[in-house]
Amino acid sequence: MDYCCDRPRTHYFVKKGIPGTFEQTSWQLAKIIRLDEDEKRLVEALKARRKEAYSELYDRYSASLYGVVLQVVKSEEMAADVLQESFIKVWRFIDKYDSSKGRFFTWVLNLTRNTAIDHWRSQQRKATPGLTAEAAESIIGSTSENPGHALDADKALAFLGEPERTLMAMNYLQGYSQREIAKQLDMPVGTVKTKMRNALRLLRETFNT
Amino acid sequence: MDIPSYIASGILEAYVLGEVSPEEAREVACLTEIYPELKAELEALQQGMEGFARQFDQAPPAALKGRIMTALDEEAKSTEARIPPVSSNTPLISEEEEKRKAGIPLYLQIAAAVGVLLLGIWLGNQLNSPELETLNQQVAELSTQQESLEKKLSSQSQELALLADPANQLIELAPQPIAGNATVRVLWQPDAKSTFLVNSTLPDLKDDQDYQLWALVDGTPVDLGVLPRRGEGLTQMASIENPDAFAITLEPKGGSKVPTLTQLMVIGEV
Repeated sequence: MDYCCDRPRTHYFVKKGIPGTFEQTSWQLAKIIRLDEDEKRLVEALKARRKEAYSELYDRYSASLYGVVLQVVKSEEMAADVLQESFIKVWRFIDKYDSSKGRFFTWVLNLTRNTAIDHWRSQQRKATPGLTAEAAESIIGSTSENPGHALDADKALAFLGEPERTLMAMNYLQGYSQREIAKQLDMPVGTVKTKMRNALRLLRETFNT
Repeated sequence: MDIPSYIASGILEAYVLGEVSPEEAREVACLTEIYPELKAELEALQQGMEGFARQFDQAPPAALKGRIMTALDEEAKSTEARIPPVSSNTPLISEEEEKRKAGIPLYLQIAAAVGVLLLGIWLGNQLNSPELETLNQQVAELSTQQESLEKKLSSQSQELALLADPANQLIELAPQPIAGNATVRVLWQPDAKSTFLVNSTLPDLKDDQDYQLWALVDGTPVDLGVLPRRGEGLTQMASIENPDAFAITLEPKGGSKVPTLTQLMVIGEV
């Protein structure tokens, strides 16, 4: 690991004995370690460019990756191209991944998502300039325009209210920064930041059971 | 370090949402490696984001997997041709594995390399040694000898053919008293009119003397040329039609227009 910061490598919680927190943390750690071992094996096999590892990667994650890509590019043909390009990128850049960057699935998801956003943007540049709140909402809201694969937002993201759903969609599926979103939606940047942070904490609570 | 305050600052959420500067991103990556609680919190947030993404799950078309695996095969082939990418901070294989794969420790590999180098230098010296030069000279000499032997064999084969041909006349020239036991034979080809001296043995010449061959045609001597100082085998002389006899005289160097009969060495009738 790089010595990018000179913090002592001591277990702060153990030393300080902060009550409650450590118990919760160690439970999470045990869970992460179990996940880690499985994922570590996969990552090492991917780094060794083992064919069966890429097959396993596809089997594990293709539905999630394809689903996100489809939300971004809204075309099955383009989504297939994007997924293929993303797998080639994983092949090429897998050595750049290490666990200090966080979860492996997040890494693959972000790589794929960014590829999709690049595709979507280059397509949009030809069609309509800029993104409106309506457009962002249509991405997650409209079932009539994309009956095959559109998100049933009310059901799937019921735990997120508005404007959080729109904010998350603009950020996650369109790649807009909080500053850009604030400008687009005519909201103060601080409000956007707070609402998105709350949305993320809610997602954290929802998906860490 | 105050972990709860760091978590409460919202930097991890900003990191997950991609709203941090590169410096902040490095800091988060570093601190989460040092503090397991921070890593746990970061991964919990990432898991939340993954949960969000999973809301959109949709199975891709069945044919896509085959297409992607084929594309990866092609990528593998094209990367094999290139130099493999080297990651700056993440080794492809662990050091232990590298050692295991290498099998032979590095110092032994270096020793072996040096050994090969020294052997190469020694061989190089051997190849440039005087012995080799001698050998090369011998080879050159042998090949020169072979060439001359081949020439000799070829000319002797021609001589043999001339001597064996019954159409040709072989005339023995009888030595005169001053010639001692000289032996000279002349081969004459009636059809080609060619004249050859065959293995002539004559007394040694002084520097200012030459032997000259004559043919007698109708009583008149005809000059057939001065004999070479060293003549082995067949020596072709000038051609002549209808010779009656052949004779050799001792003449001043370069030969004479008419034979010096007092110096007649050998003579033979056809």
